[in-house]
Amino acid sequence: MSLQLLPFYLLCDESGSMTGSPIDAINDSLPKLHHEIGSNPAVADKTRFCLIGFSDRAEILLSLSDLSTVTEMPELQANGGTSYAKAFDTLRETIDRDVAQLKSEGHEVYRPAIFFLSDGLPNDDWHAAYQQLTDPAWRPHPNILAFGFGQADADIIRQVATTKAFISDNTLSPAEALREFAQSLVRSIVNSGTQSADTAAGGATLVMPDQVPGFTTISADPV
Amino acid sequence: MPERERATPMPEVDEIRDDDAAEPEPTDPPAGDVPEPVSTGTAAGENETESDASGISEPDAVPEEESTVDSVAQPAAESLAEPVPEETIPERATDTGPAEFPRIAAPAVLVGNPRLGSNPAALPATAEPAADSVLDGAEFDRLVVRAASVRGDEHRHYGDTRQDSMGIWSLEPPAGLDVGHLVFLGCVADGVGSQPLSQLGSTQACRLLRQHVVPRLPELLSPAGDPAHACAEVMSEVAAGLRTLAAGLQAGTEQVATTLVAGLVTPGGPGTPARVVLFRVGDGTCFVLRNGSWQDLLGELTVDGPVLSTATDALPMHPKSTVATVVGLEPGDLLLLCTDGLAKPMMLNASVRDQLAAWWGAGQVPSLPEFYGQMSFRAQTFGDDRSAVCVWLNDHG
Repeated sequence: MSLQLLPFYLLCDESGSMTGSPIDAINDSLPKLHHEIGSNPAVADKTRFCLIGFSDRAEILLSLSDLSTVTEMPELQANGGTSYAKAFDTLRETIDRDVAQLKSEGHEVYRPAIFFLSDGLPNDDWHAAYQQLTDPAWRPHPNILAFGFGQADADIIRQVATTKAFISDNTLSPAEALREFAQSLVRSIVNSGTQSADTAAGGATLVMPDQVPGFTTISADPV
Repeated sequence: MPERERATPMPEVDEIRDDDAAEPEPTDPPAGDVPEPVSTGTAAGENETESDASGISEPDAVPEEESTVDSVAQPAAESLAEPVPEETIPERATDTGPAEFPRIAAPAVLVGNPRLGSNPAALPATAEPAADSVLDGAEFDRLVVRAASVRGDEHRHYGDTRQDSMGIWSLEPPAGLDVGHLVFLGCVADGVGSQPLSQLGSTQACRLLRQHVVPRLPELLSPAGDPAHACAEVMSEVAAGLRTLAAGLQAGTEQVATTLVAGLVTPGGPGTPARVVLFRVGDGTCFVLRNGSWQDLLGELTVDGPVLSTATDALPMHPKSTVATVVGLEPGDLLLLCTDGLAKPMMLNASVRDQLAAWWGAGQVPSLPEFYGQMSFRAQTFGDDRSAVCVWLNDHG
């Protein structure tokens, strides 16, 4: 059996600055996300979902899964510093492994999609790791959609995104912003699932939302 | 005859409803006291509504009408004419009545475990959406045609219009050429631009194809002609027509973009192979099914490298990427022109190739409803529109 699968990675900042309402809001949103993705047959059929949390280190909290078969979502726990390099290194290793695994099972794999969520400034040098992650010579290099909120530096968020970047405009509390983020994520997956099969010449395989309520869209500017 | 079969059950339903209204106790389930079919019918269908249950069990009108339609085998029909022994009552209840004609089977699941179903959701929110599906067919001396363009389950789920189109035509053979009395043209197109204009693009591409093939038939069909050149010219003219369409819609050319693959078949005389001119722009595919196995007649579909790409050449942007070939097909061969919505699950899954070969091989031509059902197979993650023109070559006629 050979399927056409679209892997999604949610890369979540769980550094110490996320303590309190930001981390609570994400943890409240994840089960909802789980339910909305797992119960949408068009999305569940063709997506796989992975959750990675990062602070001083990065950890796979949910390995690439069919969300409709997952019974419980893991929780994020905030502490420590913010290493984007660890996050990007772990992500690249994980994508390599996952794509190889899916292909060895006979599946075809669409370019992975990353939802990068961070509230703070990285306190490491992450550019080399980022270049490895987005190296066009690496065939499964992902599309990255970056969300910044709290005290995030718009320039940093813009640099992380390859496709679209959003900055919270402070009209919503973190909890509301994250709920909006979750809904936007689901909508984006739905759209991707629909349109990736039909995208015309150009080969883009992912449709990102142009607007997310509570966030300002900024142009992506890969380093 | 078919009209009769279809028409007769209708008035009976009305009659039954009248009887039902006059009848006070159709709900009494236990059989026994009277050999009254009403009670067994209710027992057999306890979960159904009263009118449903009594509708199934109504004894009188149904068997009489059915005995006039003996091609439809209904074993219980004769037993109804005489007093019925009690033990046969359940058989009567299940084997008679309009509800007992064979139901059309649910679509086969050929890949994975799709949770996405095939029922359409909202109607597309466009002024002139394409119908969900188009089904067509024809039979000539030496060839039989079945064709369908079926909206993908994902488009049904999201209430998006079908973007594929197809067309089949028999064309007037050009004077002065000895090509026999039939020239058949079939094509499928996959609109890859932005909705809803992609549907207009694929529909118009099929129309334009026929329009521009006709004047070039001598060049396409003559043994001395240059069919590859003629095919490229036709595609350029189709591209020009699509640009005109886009301009009229005040849309960008890429919004009406579409793939297009066509086959021009002249069956030839008995004992000679049929001549087929095949040409395409984009990822439409031409297969032949011969001796149970599928062969790609226009080269491999590119399923490239570590990451799946959906990029394809398309009209009106890439008429210069026209690929054309001329092949000879033998009696017993099946020519299949299809969009990637069918080609991809076929190329990636032996289960699909094998099942289609089992359905369509060895000269088996399905009825139109069978063909539609077969085209409607479900395959997890393959929710795109599917279009196919199938041409069976035979020695009849």
